[in-house]
Amino acid sequence: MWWRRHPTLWVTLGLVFIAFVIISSHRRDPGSLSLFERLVYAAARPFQKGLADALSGIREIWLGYVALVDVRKENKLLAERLKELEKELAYCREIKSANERLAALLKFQNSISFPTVASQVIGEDSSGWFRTLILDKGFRDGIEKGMPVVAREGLVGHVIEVADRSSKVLMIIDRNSAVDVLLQQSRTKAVLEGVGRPDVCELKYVPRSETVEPGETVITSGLGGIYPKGLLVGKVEKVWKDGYGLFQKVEVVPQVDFRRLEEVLVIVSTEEVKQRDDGKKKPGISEGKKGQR
Amino acid sequence: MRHVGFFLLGLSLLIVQTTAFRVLGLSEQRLQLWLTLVVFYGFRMAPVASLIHSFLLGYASDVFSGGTHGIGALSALLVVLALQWTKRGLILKSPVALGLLAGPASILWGISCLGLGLLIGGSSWVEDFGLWPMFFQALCLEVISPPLMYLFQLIESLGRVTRETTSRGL
Repeated sequence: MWWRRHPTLWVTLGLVFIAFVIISSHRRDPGSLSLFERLVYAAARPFQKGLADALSGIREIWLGYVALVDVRKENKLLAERLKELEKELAYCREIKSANERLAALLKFQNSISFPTVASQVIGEDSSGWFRTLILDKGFRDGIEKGMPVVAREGLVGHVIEVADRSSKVLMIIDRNSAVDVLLQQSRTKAVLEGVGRPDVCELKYVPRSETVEPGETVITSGLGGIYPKGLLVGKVEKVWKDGYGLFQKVEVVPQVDFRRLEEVLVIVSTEEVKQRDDGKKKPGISEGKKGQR
Repeated sequence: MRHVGFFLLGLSLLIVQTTAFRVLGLSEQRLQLWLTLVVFYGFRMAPVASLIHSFLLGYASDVFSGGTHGIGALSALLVVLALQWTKRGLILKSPVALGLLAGPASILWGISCLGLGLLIGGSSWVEDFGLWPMFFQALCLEVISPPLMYLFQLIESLGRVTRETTSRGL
């Protein structure tokens, strides 16, 4: 057979073709998942969850253990006892810390008017170039594409992909993210965009004529159809104007510490958000994912 | 079985990369651990098998990434083709020598992803990302990959022994 003479060439061409099919279908509908993608999510999820839980516990116990090394030198017997107690303490601290976090999350869950699903962060972006999180809840738990995700400190992002038991969240600090926001004191509307760094975002389209002060609170405006109004986003850190241009530059520090996120809430009642924002969508700027790379 | 085993090994490296590094506070220095397996495939497997394996692993890495799905897979294909080309002029058997190829493979994969992202996505995020983290990640991978190569070799030889024992038994 003619194709058997150069199998590598034909396989390469076939795989390149498949890659382009994947790229084009993902660019056309970024939220849809192929069978392979679903399988990868399904296979990875229990291991990701188990590993995340196990390593969190080990880290806490290890941090407690390290503190005991000097004490053991002074008194071995006492140190042994202390080690046990320290392990228990680390374990209790971990439980206490988890309890506090979950209690705060529950309090926050009760304080917001939208029904939510609590979820654990079990992974993050594999490439390091994007700012996405993987949650342990998916389609079966009521999660859908486009749902807003919050932590008790403030806005985290929105769901961009959903598998059976896990989902992917695009954080507001990703360069692809765009959120319609409102400056609480000056009532100035703007679009918050990520710059790819975990500690800072940029406000776009703030007219030069508006007075914006550092320290001003940034909340979601409710426009754009994804995020409900009034979710805390962050605080204005820096404001400056270049010598030219229609807009001023505003840097915002997000309220959420994205490096330490462990539990989040997914706002599942998107219907309510849609109804509230129906017909109010800002022309020309779409909230959520700006575009694929 | 061997192929499924190696794919699962790659998937487990991806899980370590996405989950363990985050919990251990190393998420900013995230290494593309699965690329070491691509290098291993490139030198140890038949060309067609290594192409398919690398493509699937690249695709699996796309699943956990926020970028366009397929770009990582295409880049992995490019890496393994480069390795196939390198293989013609080099005979590398030692895990350390194989491990040394992981760094350049990581750089090639990174550049390919950035380039394809720019071509397909049309965004200017290459400038924002900068090339320094990519080189740093490659350097770290260079250090960590020799022990990983030893591990892959060990797994491969264990698999071979098991297969031989089973076939003799039959």
